[in-house]
Amino acid sequence: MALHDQQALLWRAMTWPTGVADFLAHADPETRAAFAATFAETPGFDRIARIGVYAEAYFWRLFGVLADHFGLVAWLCGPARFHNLVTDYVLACPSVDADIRRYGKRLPGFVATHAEGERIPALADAAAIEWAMVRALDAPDEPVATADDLRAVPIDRWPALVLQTVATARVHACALPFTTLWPAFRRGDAAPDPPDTGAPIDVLVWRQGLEVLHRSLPADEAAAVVAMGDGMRFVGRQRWLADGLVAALR
Amino acid sequence: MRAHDGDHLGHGVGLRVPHFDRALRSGLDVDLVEAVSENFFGGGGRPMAVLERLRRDMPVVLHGVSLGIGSPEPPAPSYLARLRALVDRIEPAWVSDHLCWTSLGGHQAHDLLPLPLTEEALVHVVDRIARVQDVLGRPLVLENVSSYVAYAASTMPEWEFLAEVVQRADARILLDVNNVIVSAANFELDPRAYVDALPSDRIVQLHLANHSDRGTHRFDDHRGEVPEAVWDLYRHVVRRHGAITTIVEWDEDVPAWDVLRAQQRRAAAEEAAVRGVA
Repeated sequence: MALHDQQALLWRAMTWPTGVADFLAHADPETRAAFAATFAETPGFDRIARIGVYAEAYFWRLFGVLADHFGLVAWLCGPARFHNLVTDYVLACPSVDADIRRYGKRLPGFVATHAEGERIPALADAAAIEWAMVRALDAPDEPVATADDLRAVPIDRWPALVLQTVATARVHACALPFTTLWPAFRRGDAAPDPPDTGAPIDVLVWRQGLEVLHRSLPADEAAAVVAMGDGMRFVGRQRWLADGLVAALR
Repeated sequence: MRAHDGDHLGHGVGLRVPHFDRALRSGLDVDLVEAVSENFFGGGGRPMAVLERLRRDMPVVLHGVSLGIGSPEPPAPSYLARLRALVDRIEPAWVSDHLCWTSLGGHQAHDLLPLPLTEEALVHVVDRIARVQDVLGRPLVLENVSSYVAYAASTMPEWEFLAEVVQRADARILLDVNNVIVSAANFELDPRAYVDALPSDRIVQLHLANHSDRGTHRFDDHRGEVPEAVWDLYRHVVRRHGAITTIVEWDEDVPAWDVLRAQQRRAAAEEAAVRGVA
């Protein structure tokens, strides 16, 4: 059997959702024969169990990174339901990026159409915010504007100044009270079951220096931050300067 | 200053997130650190700040987990571009990854899957190494992996495969002493025979780590202190191949800095004892 075929057979066996033995039970006779011919058999620890080591590692490695990146979602779901959510996600969305830290990219969208997303309304919103935090953490550095930068600009040029948010700044609508749930989660409180939902709030995620931050925004400020993503004129956004939200002036 | 492969850089540790704050605040009191390449592909933020801070103080070696040198598809150009950009920015002493495969059909296993030990696999891997070395502009360092399944078609032992790969490709070896112990246990091999068969002039780095005994097999989980069996084989490696740059790996349940550093200190002491150096 050619190298590629040997590799494909190992891949199919280790990624079969219900285990290697079940893979073989569902395989045609030709595949079962190929399996027996390809993998060396050893007594006491047979080839099915040996490939099972890879199968277990495959799932739990992906589970681990999702549990790490979507801790609030996992907390709201509870262990069993989060396990089921991840199982379904791994089946539907195999990893396609060599950087495992990017594996959760599609989870917010997946949650939106999953039974768990129906059971907990706005769970997908929370997932989207957590994903924004992950991306902000790793994003490239960029210079930010400060109050001193603004003071250095002649006042008659202020109306013409164009402000733009840093690349990590993202505003997400969330019908869950994210900014109160997050500290409860971090404290290790028991998760509300189910969590209360209400009118959506806008949550801003951004990175200031080396810290990823988030806060809720009033609707008008959220609209302004979103507009600033495309560049907008300065209208007294001093707090944004203090928060490190404003990219270097131009 | 960039070190060259073959230099003995001393004894270091794998850089992990729990020690980032310490690294930023006061640096790390080891000879070098090993950074997982893919963790720094983002190009900024805390991870890169830590790495650049440490690089000002000491050599850094880059160690990837997703190159998949033996995968059916070649490494993606975007992956190699990100790796090259990181190399240019950090100027590591060398760049390593694993002698394995990691993906199929565009999907990633995020695991180090074993290759059949055949001439076909040899030719496949050597060709891929040549292309990667062209992109990186330097020799690639390849690590032996822990294995749990063998292929019936294999025609040579793992140590022969590894030695032949690096010879044909003009690559280098990262000898993971723990992985030798694990694979030797899982396939009833002699770990010392494995070590003795490798070419001394190709080994530029060692790994020390722990594994777990699961009854039917040993599993490479990198959790816990380096066990005595690994220290014993490490001493044999130093006697056989001389003093070599050594990294202690501890990836799961990462301990307090003092605990990890104690492992690094022990590695240095073990090497000195073998060499009769105070």
